[in-house]
Amino acid sequence: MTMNFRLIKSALVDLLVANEAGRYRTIGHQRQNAAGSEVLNNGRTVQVFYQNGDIPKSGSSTNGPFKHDITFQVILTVSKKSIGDRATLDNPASTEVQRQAAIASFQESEALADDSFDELVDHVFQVILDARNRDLGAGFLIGSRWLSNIRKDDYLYRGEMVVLSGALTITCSTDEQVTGETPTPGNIIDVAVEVDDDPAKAGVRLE
Amino acid sequence: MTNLRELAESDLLDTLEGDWGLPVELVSPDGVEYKTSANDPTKDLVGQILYDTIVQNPDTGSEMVLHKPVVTLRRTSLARIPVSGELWWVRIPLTPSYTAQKVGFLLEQATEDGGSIGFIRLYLQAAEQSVP
Repeated sequence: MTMNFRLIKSALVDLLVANEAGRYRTIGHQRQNAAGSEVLNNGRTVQVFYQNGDIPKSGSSTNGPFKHDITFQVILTVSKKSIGDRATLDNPASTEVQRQAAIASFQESEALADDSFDELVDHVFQVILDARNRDLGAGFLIGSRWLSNIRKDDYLYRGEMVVLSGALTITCSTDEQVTGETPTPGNIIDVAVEVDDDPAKAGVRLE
Repeated sequence: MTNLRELAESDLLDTLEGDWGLPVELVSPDGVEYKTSANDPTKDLVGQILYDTIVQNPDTGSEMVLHKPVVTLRRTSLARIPVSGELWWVRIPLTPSYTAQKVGFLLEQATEDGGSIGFIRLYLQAAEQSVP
């Protein structure tokens, strides 16, 4: 039987996927790296991973159920390039005044990334704290669902783009059961190592 | 007696603007284009362009190669020197070839000064066309 925290994490990913509407992409695990171009504009990513679990003794009994206070991290990553009238700047026929106006028109990537990140927080916040999603889509009762923290990190200059990431901390609690699992054996691989210069083909002897 | 700093600066004619040099075009915030060297207006403005940069991955600590053009120019070749905080448009060849088509980048990140050793380093960022 699968533990409830895994079901909840899976449900949370499914819930975020169902509400993407082209505004972001959901990934069900923590990725070490994302290229700036990968998360550019609406390729913004939302990564969900189980960060921490507390099992307080006071809320549990010896043979279960065990109260499980869960902390999920939802990592948000956005990336932006500057936007402006580059066509005028690359046009040999443009005048000095037109080029001046074109440079002044640029919106800097840091400001765009900051806005994009805030917008993404807005989307994800609305999905997770919607009253209809009190169970985070799990289909069973989840206790104390709460979004306890929103964090924004510093800009990362990934190549020629700016990447901005941060995290939402989501906490909830559930009861875990121990069902007495019968282990299923994995595949046993029988490896016979033959050494070419061993006439007896006795394999490798460890001493 | 020759001053060593002056000698180092004059060496930039070879190290930055010599055989390794690639043409660079600058557009200042007031729209003025700089395509030729202030030292010799009959010559193109050239400098050293590094297209990729090796940096340390902040997530893993390992090294990674980023596409991030960095342009190093001789300060005396510039009629106006970019100052940190100014938005400039910088056109460089798309590939490391003198005759390659040029592509524009925004000079957005702070410049690295190097005033006492005669060069300036520009970090470029990609830019998208805005929708009219």
